Amino acid sequence: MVRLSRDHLMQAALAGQPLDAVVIDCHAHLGAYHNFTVPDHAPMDLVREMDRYGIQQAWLSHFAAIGPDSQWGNDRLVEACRAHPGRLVGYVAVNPNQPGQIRSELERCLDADCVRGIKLHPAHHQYPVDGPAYRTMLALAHERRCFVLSHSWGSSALLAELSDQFCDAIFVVAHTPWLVARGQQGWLSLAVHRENVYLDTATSWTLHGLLEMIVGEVGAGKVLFGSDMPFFSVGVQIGTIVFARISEQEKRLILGLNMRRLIAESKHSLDASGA
Amino acid sequence: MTLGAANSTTEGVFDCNCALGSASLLPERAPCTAADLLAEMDRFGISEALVYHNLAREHDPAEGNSRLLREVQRSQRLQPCWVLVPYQAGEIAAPKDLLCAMQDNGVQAVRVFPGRRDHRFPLRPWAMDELLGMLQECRVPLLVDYGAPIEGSAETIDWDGLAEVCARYQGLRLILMGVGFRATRCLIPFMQGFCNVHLDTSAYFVHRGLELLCRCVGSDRLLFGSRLPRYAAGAPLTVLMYAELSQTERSLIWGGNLRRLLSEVAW
Repeated sequence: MVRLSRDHLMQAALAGQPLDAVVIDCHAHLGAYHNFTVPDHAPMDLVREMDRYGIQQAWLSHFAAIGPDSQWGNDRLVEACRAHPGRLVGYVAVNPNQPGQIRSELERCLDADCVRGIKLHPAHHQYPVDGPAYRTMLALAHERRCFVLSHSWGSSALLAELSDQFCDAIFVVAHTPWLVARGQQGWLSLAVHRENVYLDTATSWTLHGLLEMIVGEVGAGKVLFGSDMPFFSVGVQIGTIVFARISEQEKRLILGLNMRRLIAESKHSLDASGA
Repeated sequence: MTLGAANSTTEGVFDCNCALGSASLLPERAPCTAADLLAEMDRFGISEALVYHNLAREHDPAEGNSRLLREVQRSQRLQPCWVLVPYQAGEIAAPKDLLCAMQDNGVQAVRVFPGRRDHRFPLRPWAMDELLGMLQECRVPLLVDYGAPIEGSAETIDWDGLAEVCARYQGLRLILMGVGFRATRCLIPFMQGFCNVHLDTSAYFVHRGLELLCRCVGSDRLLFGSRLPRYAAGAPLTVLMYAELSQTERSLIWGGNLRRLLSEVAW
């Protein structure tokens, strides 16, 4: 068998050793899930899994909060993030079908120092992305200069409008490879042209060459490692990125340097605005 | 042990789920020749692979199986796996002749795609009794791939049909292919109920799923698979290398189990 040159990240993965890199997972979850088995989903289990891979931080929303009981789910989320400070960071989620509690619940959670983003799940809540409840959430995200991660954004044209209107929020397109594999290239050009739009990698499968194509189109600086853990294994996207035919520096940007920069810029602008 | 250190064909990674040949949905630049597939395997430290020809899946099993033999004949690292359908309509040889041909050509495993969007046939005793009986008698592994449109979702796997087959042919070595992360509530009871069922790990990306299966059914029934070349091998390989398992368990999964199964084939 031929000996090939492998970069440090590949060598670490082939040995099952923690990555020596900045690794921040921008898209993870907490809790059990009704539709199928999710073993070992307690916060300490997630952190232990992160330690195995060398992931310093994961940003997560609670399954119950994107499902039936936002307040209960967000409470569990804050508990978990406070129990693992600096390792787990929260996305608050609020049911758009209960508009009366949106602002109070978002503010309650965003006032907790461990919650830095808002998660939307139009599919679970069966609510249109451009509905008034989500626009209320986006307005607060703009006001607070925080991250907004949505399971889906409807169309790239709609996201273009929203990211323009709420220009101080950082918009993350979830499941980008899934979208691109279905021919939806508009998300890529949007990420290129909009400073506040980023693409996450969270999918449960990886077609040969797909990540390389995405990076080729938008540049590694616009792609964020997202795993969807514990929906499925964090190893899927770690392996996809680490073994992609891109440079080691591009891998490091995607794995965590991009997210670290965005967090620092977001915090800086928060401090500067006095918010 | 690091993966790169174990690269012989007796100890290294033996991938149970690879294909050769062009395919309708094959991404551009994905490897489809034997030489390209071997180069891709080298990149990931994969020593050997059990391969079928995609022409056998997407066009005609007899043609594809024949093409497979020509394309792997020069490589000791690519082990042929034939694709089968029910023989009664004459599309493939009758079981006795088929098994002779397999023995003559070093084919030690077979694969079926019974799903509606693939070969559309009932994997049931009433349709396949003679063949399944012979595979059981010769201990030839049967790889069953329902090719679910939503990436191995539980709904497209005929669990009841598989249970009927496993109950009737209790010695048949059945390997479930491409089962996804949503299937655990079906998969574990199934594997606990039928001890000769094995699992290809190529799509089983449950969070700490390998650890769960090792606890529930044992590491000796899990087989590393990648789904090369349509899918990138980095994901399943990384999941295996970081799983919280003993090195013995990991070695069994990455190649020991498949080697054992193939060594037990008895013509």
